[in-house]
Amino acid sequence: MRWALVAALVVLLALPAVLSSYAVTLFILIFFYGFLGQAWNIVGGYAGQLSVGHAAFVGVGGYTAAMLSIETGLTPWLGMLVGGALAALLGAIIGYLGFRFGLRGFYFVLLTVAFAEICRIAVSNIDAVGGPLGLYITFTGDPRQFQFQDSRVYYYIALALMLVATAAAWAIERRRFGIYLAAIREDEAAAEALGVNAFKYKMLAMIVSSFLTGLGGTFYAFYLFSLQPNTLFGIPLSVEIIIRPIVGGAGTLLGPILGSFILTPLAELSRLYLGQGGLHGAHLIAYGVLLIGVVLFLPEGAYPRLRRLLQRSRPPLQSEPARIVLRPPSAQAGLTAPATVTLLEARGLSRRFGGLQAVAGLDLTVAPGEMLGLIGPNGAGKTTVFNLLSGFLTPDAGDVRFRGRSIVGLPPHAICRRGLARTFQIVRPFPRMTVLENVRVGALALHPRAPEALARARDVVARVGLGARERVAAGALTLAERKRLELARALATGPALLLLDEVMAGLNPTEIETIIQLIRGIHESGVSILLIEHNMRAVMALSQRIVVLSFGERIAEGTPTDIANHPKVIEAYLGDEYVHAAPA
Amino acid sequence: MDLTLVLQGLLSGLLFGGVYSLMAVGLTLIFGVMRVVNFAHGDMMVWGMYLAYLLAARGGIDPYLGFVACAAALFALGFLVQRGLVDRIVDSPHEMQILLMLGVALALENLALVAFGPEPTRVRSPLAAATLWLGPIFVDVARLVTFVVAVALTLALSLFLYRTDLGRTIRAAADNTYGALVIGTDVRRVYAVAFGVGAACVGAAGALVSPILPFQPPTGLSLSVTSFNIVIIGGMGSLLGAFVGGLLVSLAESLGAVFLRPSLKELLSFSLLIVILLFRPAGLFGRRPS
Amino acid sequence: MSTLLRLDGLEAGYGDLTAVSGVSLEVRQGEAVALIGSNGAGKTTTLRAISGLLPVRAGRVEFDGARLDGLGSAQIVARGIAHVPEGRQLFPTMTVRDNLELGGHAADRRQRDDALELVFTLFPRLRERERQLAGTLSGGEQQMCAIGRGLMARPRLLLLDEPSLGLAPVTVKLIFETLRRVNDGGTTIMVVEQNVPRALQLSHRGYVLENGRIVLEGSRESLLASPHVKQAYLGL
Repeated sequence: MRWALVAALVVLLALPAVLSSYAVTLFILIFFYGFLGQAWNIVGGYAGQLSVGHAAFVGVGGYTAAMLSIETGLTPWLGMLVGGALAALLGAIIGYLGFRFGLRGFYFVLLTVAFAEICRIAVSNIDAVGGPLGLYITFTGDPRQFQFQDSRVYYYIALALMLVATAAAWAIERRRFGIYLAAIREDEAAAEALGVNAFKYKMLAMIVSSFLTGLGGTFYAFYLFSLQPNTLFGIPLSVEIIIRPIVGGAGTLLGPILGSFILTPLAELSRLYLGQGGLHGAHLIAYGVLLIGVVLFLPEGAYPRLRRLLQRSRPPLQSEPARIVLRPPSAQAGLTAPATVTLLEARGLSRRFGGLQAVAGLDLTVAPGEMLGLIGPNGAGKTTVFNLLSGFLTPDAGDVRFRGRSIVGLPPHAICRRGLARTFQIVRPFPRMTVLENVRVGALALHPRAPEALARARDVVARVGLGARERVAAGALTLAERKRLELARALATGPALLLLDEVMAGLNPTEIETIIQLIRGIHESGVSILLIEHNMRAVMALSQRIVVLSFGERIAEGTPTDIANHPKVIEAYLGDEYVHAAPA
Repeated sequence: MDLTLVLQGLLSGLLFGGVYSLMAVGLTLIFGVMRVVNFAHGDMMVWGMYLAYLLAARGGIDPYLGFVACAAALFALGFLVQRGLVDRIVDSPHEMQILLMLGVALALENLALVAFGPEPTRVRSPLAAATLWLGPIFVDVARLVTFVVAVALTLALSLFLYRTDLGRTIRAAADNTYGALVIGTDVRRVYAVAFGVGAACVGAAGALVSPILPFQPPTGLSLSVTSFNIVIIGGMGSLLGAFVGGLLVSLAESLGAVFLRPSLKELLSFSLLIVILLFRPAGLFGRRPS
Repeated sequence: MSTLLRLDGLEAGYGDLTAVSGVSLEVRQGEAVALIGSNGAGKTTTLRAISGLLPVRAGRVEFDGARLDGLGSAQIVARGIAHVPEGRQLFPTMTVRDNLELGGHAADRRQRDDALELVFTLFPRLRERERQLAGTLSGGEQQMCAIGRGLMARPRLLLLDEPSLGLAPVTVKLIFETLRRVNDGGTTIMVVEQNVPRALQLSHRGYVLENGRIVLEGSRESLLASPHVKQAYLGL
């Protein structure tokens, strides 16, 4: 594969020598839209945030460079960077508003469209920047003014831009940044629980994407010599930007490039042959039909499908030998903190939903090295307690102290990084990632560099017994394997306290035995555990101490034996008829 | 400040609001039942306008009668879009649905462009010329008729939804799709009908508006955005919200045109959209989307 | 007593997961049968497969001699099977009356009113709350409404998925007593439950589901006496 790409690059570099000037123009457009598409891909594909207003960044970048050149004579080579920076600023504002206010999907799309339209209308109405007619750049052919007589220079610049954007995407893809983005795209909440600061990474993606797109604006301005607000900020341009990566494969490295190679010639041909006599919109109809077709039949895009056809097996992960010695589990970050008397202490924890008091004034402590069981009939509030402890819900009242510091109000990713990890009752693997890649996301919380995180992930995967299934996509695992994956992922973050939410649910007795052993092993390695369970046998076997919840309140606490015979517990689970039937 | 001008603006806005309400009601129905955001809403309305134009120009049918045919044609389109396209991606991630409807919008808009050309069109209706005078203010009879018919259609729709069995089933499916499935509802058919009815609303709205507003294929986008604006303000999935929102937005636009440059009016509505998105995406009447 | 419902080697699941496999059971006319098991055992999957809410991957489902597997959920309801789902799944912004009426199919106004009357007699609380929005009802009232909605279809077989979930013991008692009355009135019932004592109290026979397979079956008495059941489900 690598050699094919290198060969293609060599061909592309040599092409201008043999191509007609029209063909050169076509390639310039292919590269340019490939560049814009790749820039969009960073936030739209990798981060999964659908923006249909990216034209705004082209406009801001282009207008800035053009104005600076016209008014101050600043060379567009520098103006490009200023334009990019301003575009990045706009991107930061849109990103901040969108992500802070939790706008997803359709609402985020609308936000981006609204901003783009506002820019378009504003610029149309400001005569100082040319108003509705726009700006014109006088042709001087001066390279210092980013103008060239020979269109072949533009060819190489456009190619360079496309390569730069692709290099940026490549760099992001293989580092923690990209891995975190993929996790956010697959399941943002699960990612948060593994220490991923979703807001921060989405913002970064948005800023990088808008900066690069802004650079494109300068190229546009100084290649076409005219800027009109309706063209430069308009929805049609935004559509042109997004359709290539979507058709080619959003979230892949080569998708936007492939998409541009497919669509740009198509668009140009249709414009050429159908453009006369009223059929201007014909290629856009094709775009519409293509979008529909891609969504229905090729949702991942052309490139992934192509890759599967060409390659029999998944490319192996770049596993480098770990150069660092992984610290043995008992010396994990979890226990090198100053010892506190209690590891976790919740006091007066309360939370209501509408008319329902889900948790009422709960006190709960976990001592370092303890394994505490939390049981109670359905609807008792156990998962709500977990959500409160792990930051997915804020308590109405009460305090939670972890290792001596209050964690109330902290987002889940921050709590994870303090050493408190959790699993979910309904397992949430990242379905399109392999077992190893899933666990790597967790490991990145401990080792920011991807190769070391991979090494640790491999280690943890082996410990939970999934070593043979390393390369399997999480979506193809059995339920028992998914449970172990969930455990491994949380364990990889190096927690001091692990919250396990009904790990046994749905497992057969043999699988339960295995998991019990596994949990024991984790506990013995020094991780404290708080587990919610319905499986009485498991709870009794594992827990050193048990807390019983009913209707949001603690009704009993003690050793397993105490609890088994506690009349209130029996009543809560089985109803009053069984209170007297329980054996001693 | 010319009071007459303001009053004129208010009346004009109110009358036009009937159309906005009908348009928004269609969109909110589609969202309320299927959780589908119809990005092609404005483009469907433009097709309603063009169909009315064809009926008037080729068939000599006045749009105030022809709107029935436009509604029927758009019903069929909506039904087919749901049945043939949206139904297939029910289990796909949400983004897919957005892209799909975007594709439909692109196709519709540019089909209109190819079929009818980029020049603005207008439909001639004998009523469009007539005016009534209420003291110092004048009323376009055409606008008045448009308003009356639009409101009547909206009322008819709510009667359908609240007084018929099929309407109640549609509301149930909007309230809890799985529950509707469990009690034996043919949910796929209900979805298709709901989309069809939503499209029919916008087809009728297009026909009703064709005599009073010049239109061209790109009008579709701004109509879509206005629809989203109204529905988000009024509450996604709330019929009352869409109705009230339509009137409010139309009034605001009309008053805006009195005091501001026409192009700035659009700026205002986009800014308002952003503010609403940030602070009340559930709108005035609606429920928070999942 | 003739067999009303028969499952033969049923297999069903979600995506790559097979949740139930090789499940065979039968429910005879007029009986009340319990399907018990803990969380994740496959109880809900089984009911969904019967009702056509989930595709049957292998095996057969026969109702009154005719095959059900492969039919759509609407058709299965029309054949006379009503499903009271886990979590009730009412229509929260619609009134109790609307919720109930939606459960009925009779085009005839008179038949619908008769069915409504029957439900109100069984659950007087619902009559009091007729005009109230279903979303504002208490948990127990919602369960009553969901069962009532199922009964409106005058089903031959009533399937109930964990009716006791999240309800206080006293409410559970009331609901199961009413189910007893429904069964006595001739409606065949299959109830799926984690609350084993209640489920066995109501039923004549039961099946125990674990990890998607039937591991035990028998009469109420034999199950109550079974050491496996006692240990795993009665916490004894």
